[in-house]
Amino acid sequence: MDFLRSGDSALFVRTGNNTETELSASNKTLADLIIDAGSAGIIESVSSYTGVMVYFDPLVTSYDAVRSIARTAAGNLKEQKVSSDSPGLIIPVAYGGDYGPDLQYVADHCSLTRSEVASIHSSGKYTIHLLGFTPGFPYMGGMDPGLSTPRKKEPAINIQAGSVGIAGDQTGIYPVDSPGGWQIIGRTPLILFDQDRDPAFLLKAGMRVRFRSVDNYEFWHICELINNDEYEPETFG
Amino acid sequence: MGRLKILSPGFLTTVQDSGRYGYRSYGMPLSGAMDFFSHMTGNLLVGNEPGVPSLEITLTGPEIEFTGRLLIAVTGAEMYPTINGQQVEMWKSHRVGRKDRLSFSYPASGARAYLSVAGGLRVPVVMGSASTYLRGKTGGLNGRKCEEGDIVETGSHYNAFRKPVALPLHLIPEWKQCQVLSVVSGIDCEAFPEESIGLFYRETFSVSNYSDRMGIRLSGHTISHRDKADVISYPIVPGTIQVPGDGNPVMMLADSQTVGGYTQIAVLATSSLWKTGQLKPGDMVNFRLIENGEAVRQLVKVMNELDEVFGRGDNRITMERYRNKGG
Repeated sequence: MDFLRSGDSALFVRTGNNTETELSASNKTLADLIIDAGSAGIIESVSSYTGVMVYFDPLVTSYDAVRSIARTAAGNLKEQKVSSDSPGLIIPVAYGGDYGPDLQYVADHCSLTRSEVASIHSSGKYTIHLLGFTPGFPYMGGMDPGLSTPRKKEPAINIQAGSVGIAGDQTGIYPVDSPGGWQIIGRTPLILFDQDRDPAFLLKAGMRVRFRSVDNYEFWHICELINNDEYEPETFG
Repeated sequence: MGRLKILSPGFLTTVQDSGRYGYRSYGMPLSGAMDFFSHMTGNLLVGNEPGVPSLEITLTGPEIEFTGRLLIAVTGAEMYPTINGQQVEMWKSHRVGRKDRLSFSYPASGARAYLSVAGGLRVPVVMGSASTYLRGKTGGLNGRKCEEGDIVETGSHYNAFRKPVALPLHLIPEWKQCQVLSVVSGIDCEAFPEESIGLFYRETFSVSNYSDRMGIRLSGHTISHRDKADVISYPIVPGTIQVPGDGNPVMMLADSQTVGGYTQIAVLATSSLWKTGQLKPGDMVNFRLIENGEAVRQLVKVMNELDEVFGRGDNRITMERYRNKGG
């Protein structure tokens, strides 16, 4: 375990260097334990695949004090599996075309056809390791390594909300229009973030997800159902 | 309670406070004033708690009419504010009355001015903050920037008829077109060869057109990686300087993502972070590496200087008080 400075107001506890479910689950527990310690000057913590970022006020506490709290919390950390009792969510995706401008790039990179990419992507089972990047953006593990494709060298200036992307061996969904470097293979009509909805976020860390390929007709049909408040989320066991 | 009527909105005018703390684990950016020194000082000049909402004015100013008596202050970028055509000093509080009109010029220096009003601006609080996060359509005025005809209400302003005060001259920042920014080294320094690190600290970078509240993309020199530019995404702080595969550094700022997957070469010291709020395309930056202890001392110095002017006994001006927005 490494303790690293990230500027004068944050400490990163690096716990590993992989994207495995067990590691992100234990990081989530560690992030909660550090906050539960209730130490003055610790503002918030964010867990991720490889560790926990602890944000603090350097005028109230110090890097050394925060490190000692993080070390104690890590000592108390017990292995905790991500609960898989709650149902998983099926996310409809229209692959390729205008919705997936980088599908061809991913196919070429992986020596597959576009429809093979869509079919492999929509037959996998995924777990959400963390929400980040933009409100409610899920970083999901469990993708078939045969789809692994690097990020773009230069981030795209605007990626539309609902875009489903690949970066390395991760897959994710853009909840709001934003710049971004992921290779975009499709789009979901589901709305991942809405500040006026309760809860505002569709997804949460630890949730299991599958994708289902839909055509343009069904995409627009689901959009309409959502607009009319008639959409029933599809789940799996 | 008073009101501000937006006669014309300017290029980009948004409601900002000290930021949306506590939601970064949901991927919610911090947001809040880009130049928090000017935002904080503006509030203090009109007798507010330092972190309450005010208007962040970008590059071209709005025209605003007041509906009643109010105490206001303009801080940040040098934008030559006028009240009914009469130029008024920045970094100083002024009394305004019904039908008085405030307008601005294009900034002579800096990029963002703050209009603070006694009582703060009264907009709905979303997830603990009034700050506007445009990409998420969250906070402020229904998640958007100010538009012509908007009416913004102010909170109660029992201080409104207080004697106007000014920030001592020596504390007024100067917005140079070439800024030297202090940084501490980043988590992924080892991803860069020595020549790249040397180049980063030696050369002057220019602020590109791809610059907004989310981040500032720099240009002029490309920084090469030892191996690859990508890392497994991990949480970042505002002020993180990332280097994507194209080699052009990007400073991640107030509305930046909470998690990033590009290597970070350095992180801005908090005492330099707010200065990035005053950079506009074409401005230049140099980076200076400092020890962590020095970064904290610089921040302590800034807060102590404000405290000497505005602190009242035990009720000190602190970053904690700024974050708490007086709530």
